[in-house]
Amino acid sequence: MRKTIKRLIVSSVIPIFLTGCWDQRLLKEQKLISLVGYDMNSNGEVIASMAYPVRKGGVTTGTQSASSQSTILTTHGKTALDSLMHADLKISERIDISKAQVILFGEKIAKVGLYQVIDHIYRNPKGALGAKVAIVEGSTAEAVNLKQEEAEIIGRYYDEFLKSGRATGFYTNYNVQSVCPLLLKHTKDPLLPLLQIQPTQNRAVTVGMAMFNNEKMTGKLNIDESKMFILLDGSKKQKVSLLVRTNNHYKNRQKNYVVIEVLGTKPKTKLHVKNKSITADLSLKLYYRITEYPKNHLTTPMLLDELNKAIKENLTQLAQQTITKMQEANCDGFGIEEQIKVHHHKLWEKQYKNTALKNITIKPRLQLELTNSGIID
Amino acid sequence: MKNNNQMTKLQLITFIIQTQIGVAFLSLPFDIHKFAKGDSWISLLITGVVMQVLVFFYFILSNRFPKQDLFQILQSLLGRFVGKCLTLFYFAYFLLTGSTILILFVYIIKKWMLPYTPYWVILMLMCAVGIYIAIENLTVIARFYFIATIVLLVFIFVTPMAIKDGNIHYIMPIGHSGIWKILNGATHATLAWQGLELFLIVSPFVTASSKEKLKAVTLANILVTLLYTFLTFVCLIYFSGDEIMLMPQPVLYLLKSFSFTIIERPDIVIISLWIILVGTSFISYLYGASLAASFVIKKWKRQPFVYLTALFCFAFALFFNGEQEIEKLTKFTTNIGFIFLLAMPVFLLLISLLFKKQQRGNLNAKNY
Amino acid sequence: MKKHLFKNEQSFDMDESSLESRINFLKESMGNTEDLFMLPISFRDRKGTIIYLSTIADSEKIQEGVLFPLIKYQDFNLHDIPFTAENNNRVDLQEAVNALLQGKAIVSMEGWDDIFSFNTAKDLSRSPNEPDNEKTVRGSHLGYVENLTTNIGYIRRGISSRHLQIRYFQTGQYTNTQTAMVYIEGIVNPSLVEKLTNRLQAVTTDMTFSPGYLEELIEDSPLSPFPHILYTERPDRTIAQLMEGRIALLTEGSSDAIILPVSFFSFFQATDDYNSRIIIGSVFRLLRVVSFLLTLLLPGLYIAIIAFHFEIIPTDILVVVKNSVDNIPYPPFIEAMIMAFTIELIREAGIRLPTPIGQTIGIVGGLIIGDAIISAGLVSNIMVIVIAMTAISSFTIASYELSNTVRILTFPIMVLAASFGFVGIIFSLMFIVGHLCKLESLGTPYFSPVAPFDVQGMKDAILRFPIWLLKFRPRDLLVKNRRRLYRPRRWEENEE
Repeated sequence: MRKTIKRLIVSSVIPIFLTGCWDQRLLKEQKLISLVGYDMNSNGEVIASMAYPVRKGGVTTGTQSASSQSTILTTHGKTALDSLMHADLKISERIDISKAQVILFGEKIAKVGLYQVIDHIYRNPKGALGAKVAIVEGSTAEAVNLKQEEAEIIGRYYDEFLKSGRATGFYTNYNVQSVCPLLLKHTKDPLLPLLQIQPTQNRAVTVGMAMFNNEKMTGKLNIDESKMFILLDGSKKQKVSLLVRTNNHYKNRQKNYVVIEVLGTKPKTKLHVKNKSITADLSLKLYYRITEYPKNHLTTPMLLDELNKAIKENLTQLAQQTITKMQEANCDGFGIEEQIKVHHHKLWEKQYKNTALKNITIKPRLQLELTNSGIID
Repeated sequence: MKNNNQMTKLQLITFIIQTQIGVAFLSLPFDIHKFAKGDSWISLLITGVVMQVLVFFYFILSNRFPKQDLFQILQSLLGRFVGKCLTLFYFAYFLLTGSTILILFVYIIKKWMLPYTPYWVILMLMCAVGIYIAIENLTVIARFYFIATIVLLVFIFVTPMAIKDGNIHYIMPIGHSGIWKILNGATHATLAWQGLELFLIVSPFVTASSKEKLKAVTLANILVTLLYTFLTFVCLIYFSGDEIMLMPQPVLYLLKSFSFTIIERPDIVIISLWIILVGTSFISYLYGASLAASFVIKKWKRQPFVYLTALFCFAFALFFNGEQEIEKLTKFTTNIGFIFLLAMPVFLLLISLLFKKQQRGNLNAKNY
Repeated sequence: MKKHLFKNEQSFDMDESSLESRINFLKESMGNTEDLFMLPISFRDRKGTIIYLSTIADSEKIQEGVLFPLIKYQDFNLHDIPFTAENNNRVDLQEAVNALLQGKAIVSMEGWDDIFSFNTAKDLSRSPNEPDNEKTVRGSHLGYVENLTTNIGYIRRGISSRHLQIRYFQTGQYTNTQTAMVYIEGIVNPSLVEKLTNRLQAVTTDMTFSPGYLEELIEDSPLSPFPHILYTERPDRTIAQLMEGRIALLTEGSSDAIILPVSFFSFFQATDDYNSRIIIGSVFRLLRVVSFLLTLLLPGLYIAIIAFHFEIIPTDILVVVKNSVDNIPYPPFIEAMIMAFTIELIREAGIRLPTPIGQTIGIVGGLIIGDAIISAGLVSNIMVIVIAMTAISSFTIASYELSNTVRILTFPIMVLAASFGFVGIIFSLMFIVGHLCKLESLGTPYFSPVAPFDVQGMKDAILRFPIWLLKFRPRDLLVKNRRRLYRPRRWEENEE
């Protein structure tokens, strides 16, 4: 009895394996899109530009490895996925964006809103949640089309570009997944890397960060401001280098500046409630070292103190400027509203729910401490 | 020689854990979040405490009938006819739960990994594995569960990585949803604890003193509660409230957003491993159902019932697979679960205490 | 009751006292075989004959041990002659037939009722050398030979204890092969001995020429792909296993000992592990376990990845892989089949051929076919790497049987992986682990230190713990005496 049933089951299971592989998605039949750029044309249609590697040369023999080259395709459609579907019509194999490394957005589409463009990635179980996101000034087609020579695959180029930018402290560390709650949630806003393309030099250039209010891009920070934002936010605590102007009067212009590198920070946000209005104190303690000081001769503590003061003044000003810009853009990158929600829940519900950042006074408070000035005085 | 159909305390722990952790825990944060928002983890802790009380009830009941399993207890307490009827009800309940597990499993697998593979093929694979192991005696099943527990370690080690990207502000301030919502969330979490009732079935086969059994089940319950709470907690701080509402399986989504240098998409590996956890739950219910059936129809051994039960679950799952039906079914199973998980054993305990009935005679649990 | 397999068992009616008729009887019983030799002698004027099978009896031994004393001590009584050949027994005619078959010489005299047999068997065994398939770097290089007595002698020399028990069985009704069951009384679980004795006694075949033949007849589930019985040609390994409470079976004419019951992890234990330093031994043991998993899963994983879930590998590698598979006409499963089949062919061809030709086959197969198959575009070079890795890691497993099992098991895994991707792999793993949990070797759990979990057993399963921590024998064997050692590093306390 048992054995016959066993045999029956075995014989009924076997045909399954013979009939095949419904979900099979052979690697050789897919075009792996490594870089996607979304932009919008004047009709409000989504333009998708994508790059995928194609093998150079014919059949390889065992020892030689094939090198790849990126090919670019631009299509447009009513929605983001629609434009990709249009791309499928133009390609010899199926397109697959599950391995996209970077997703670029044009300024135009970013101003309309990001979430709707990447919804299809969230919805797809194979979606590339780890892809980095960046905003491009100008057309994304140009960015995707860039004839750079630094990496084989263009997606990889941008991936490394953004990675190094993050390491030097130009931008925040957001990918498709981590930006999602900020796009949805109303208590904190994202800031994304902002690039510019220089077609003559075949290069992308970092120009700062794009500020968002919820999912809409509302403004730009330049590089210095971006660095300051990152320090104030505490998302990067080391290795941020800043150029600070300490003097005006030297004719030899180089002598007016000092370059410092931040070695550590202690950011702290404090909320003060007075008469039901909230003031936010962004206090930041910076430990830094001097990496360049063209004027030289940092011999006495007096001089150091003076320098420290000048740097502090300058940086505070920068911080103030950054905050003002953010307030203008209504971009709550520090998550101050979130803090209010957590610590003053009732007040938040009453007064500060979805408030504009302008209504909150934000004061930066910087403290600086020089830890070393390099191996010479 | 030792009796072949026994398991050790350690195996009892893994048996209970493996039976409980199955389909429900992937969507647990989502399900509870609907009610308790950022305080869902408190709801789960409460459910865990309630279940611990239940564990004590189970313990007292099994202590009064140390050598009998649930069905024999039913018979000793309520007489032959009623006992057999209730055993039949239990049989139906196990079938229902087994089928629900299958349905939810295929639903999630189709959604996350194999969208084009026909429904029945995945079902058949699961049923085949279920039969292959449930046909064996308890010793073999217990051994298998022990190995399967390694899978849980993966979950335990991988998920904490989300904490560093988490934002504790998402669940602050603690208790903002209010006690009623938290309690409401707690009641909806019981589906995840279903499987505890199998303790009453396997308890006579455990080679341990009754105190050790209590310790083992308590430990299992604590581990399960902590695991659930921890996973939910991680999900709650990783995803914002608005985000979680969009994700029916937040645990998987959480894993999907990770990336390691070698494995860029750990979610694919982990969903696959999760199949093992579902498999063990399914096997437990197959075992329970076939044991119940062979208790009612004594003529046959247990093995043929395993095939029958699996066949029934297969057929049932084949016909109920619409998205709305699944929701209804889950709700129905949770409600029915209340009766069989909570009400029935407590009722039995009360009868046993009121009428001072204890094990008598030599109607010992048998196991094929 | 055993049924006898002999069909034409005849009995002779004859006059037992006459020399003539005795010789005739023996001749008839042996079927007039032509290697039956008869040497007429005379002792005290009586006629007599020495009978032996010239092929297995040593004529020199007969001359020196039987013939010379007979001539020298003519005045003695036959009973009192100090024969130098051993084992001079009086036997009856029926026994004489068996004695002849064992290489003994039979002396029969006219007028004497008694028949004498002398042990003059030729020493047919070779000199021991190191077993080829169980080489070690350190430790003993002794291997079994094809002689049962010698082999048991090796074991006895290793365990000089009165607890070492040997029981003989005759298996094979034509071949009458001697099989010895060796175990250590006081350690081994007596019910195992009893069980094995019953199984051995129930064996009814015409022959058992090797332990492998016996294995199938006595093991628990012969249809399982996993080996339940450990083969070894090394006395030291046998001894170590006996000391754990297992039983060894040796048969005459075979240089293998089979050990049972064994657990799955016994196949990962090599003698070298214990002879090398703790950490190094552990690392190598771990390497073997990992290579087991690698063999089992690598082809399946590769197929699943490139046919289903290629997004899980990093983009940089993915581009390389894509370049390599782009022009391959076959789906990865067929590709893997081609390659795996080729490797199995090379392996099988290499085994049967003499060593120098075997090496040529390896070169032709490995280098030429491998290179040509890639340039022809039949198989991608990544697939060649994968399958070659699989083959190599399968050979690191300490047991030949298990390494074959694993390579065969990769095929169903590949099938499932090609149809369902990772889901298929997990299902096949569930079947395999479920199967391992079901298996029992002589009634003890096969997958033992893992399931059922046993801390003491685990110490010697995946890692090799220091010897002083291996205090107890594995629990699964239910041995009589689990304690293995008492504080062997006690001296540490004295050397303060």
